[in-house]
Amino acid sequence: MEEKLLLLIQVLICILVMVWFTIGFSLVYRKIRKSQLNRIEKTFSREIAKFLYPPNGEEYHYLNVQRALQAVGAKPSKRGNIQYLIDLMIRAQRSMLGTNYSKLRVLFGQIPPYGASLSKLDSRKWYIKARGIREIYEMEQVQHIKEITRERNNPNIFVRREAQIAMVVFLGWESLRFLPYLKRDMTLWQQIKIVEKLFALYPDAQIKYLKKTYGTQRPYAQELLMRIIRKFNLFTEVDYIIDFLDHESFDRRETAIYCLSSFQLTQEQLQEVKNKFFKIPNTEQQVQLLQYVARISPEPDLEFCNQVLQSGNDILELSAAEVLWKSGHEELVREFYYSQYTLKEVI
Amino acid sequence: MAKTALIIQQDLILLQVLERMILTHQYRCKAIRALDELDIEDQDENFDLIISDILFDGIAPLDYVHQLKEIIRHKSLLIITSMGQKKVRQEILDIGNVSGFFAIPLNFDKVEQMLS
Repeated sequence: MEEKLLLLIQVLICILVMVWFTIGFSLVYRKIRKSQLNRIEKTFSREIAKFLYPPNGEEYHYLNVQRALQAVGAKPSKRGNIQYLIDLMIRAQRSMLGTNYSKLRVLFGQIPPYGASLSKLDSRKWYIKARGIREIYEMEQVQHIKEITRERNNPNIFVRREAQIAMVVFLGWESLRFLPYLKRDMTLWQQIKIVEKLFALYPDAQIKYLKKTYGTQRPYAQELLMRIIRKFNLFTEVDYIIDFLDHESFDRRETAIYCLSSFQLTQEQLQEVKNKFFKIPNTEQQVQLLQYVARISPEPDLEFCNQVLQSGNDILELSAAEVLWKSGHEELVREFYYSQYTLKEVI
Repeated sequence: MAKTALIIQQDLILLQVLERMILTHQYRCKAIRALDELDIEDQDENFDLIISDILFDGIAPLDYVHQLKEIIRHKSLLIITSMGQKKVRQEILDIGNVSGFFAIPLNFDKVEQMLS
């Protein structure tokens, strides 16, 4: 028994020593690695600054930047360092506009890593692939658009999401030729990302590309188009949104009401909305639409409000009564509710 | 006598590029990554220009700007930050005596126009 205990203690001590050793090794490694990365960051920042604002006004050759980076270990044989360099390049490009941005684009096209991001597209791991695509579009390496377009229907959601964003970044409005015809669904988050990217990079709407995609029957594509119309405030295309107000799908109606709510409508469009109001099979959505109609109408449409009051739905009645009451038609509300009771009940 | 500038930016890339840009405009420049890197002599200096971020650990952006204006004497203050929301911008400009507010991504040409 005593021997067994001694053996157990020895084993535990061995494990403890190994854990200590691992922790010690990890600490030393991390310290060295951190100082290596700091050196690369410092060199990168200094060289970029010299490239953008050369000392003594003389041109600073890109080879100087390349040599300085290689001297601190940012060379193709060290993949970790190259990845860090790519991250730095993306960070630098993201923080600048104007002349400096153009200069950086030229510089990053001339210095290594050549094709490091593209090679990630061949990886079997989804996160490496997605990262490669992101790096390509962040650094605007438009020459790789063909390889990226192939990934737009990738089974992995993150890979195809990055590929779709890359298409928007590179092709702009023309990417609408592809997006509505994707084989897999697009999440709400992805739709928002695409609309935001399109708005940030291509703020001038090209309606011809939008119109070409109106025929799509894919649910996500119809929602995406409605969101684009809303974001770019394309009031000439509002009819496309109105068509979905009484759609059989709850989500399509929801998107249509949400997107419509940022527009002012013409009298004809308003009438169309009122006609569709009674065909909506969901009371909450009807209430949302009623509030929107009340908000954009200078005077409440008494006939329409009366129709809603007579709809037999308590919630709709209350909402219509609220609209009328707020707009100064208290008498109509009183009249409607008093008419439901006999004089005796009221007293 | 050369004009003096102080740059305070946590982002090393921005810090170095701004420093080089300022140097090309014949300024004498001190570039630091946080206020605690200032030394006692800097408090006697009356900087012609301070370019600073507003996002630092342990201090709210508005408090930071107030503190900066109190601690370091200067003639002109430019804010360059990644926290470029309209509300923040308005609050900073409302403090007064802030010459400019630039959000990142930054067009350096505009900053240079202000310098020349």
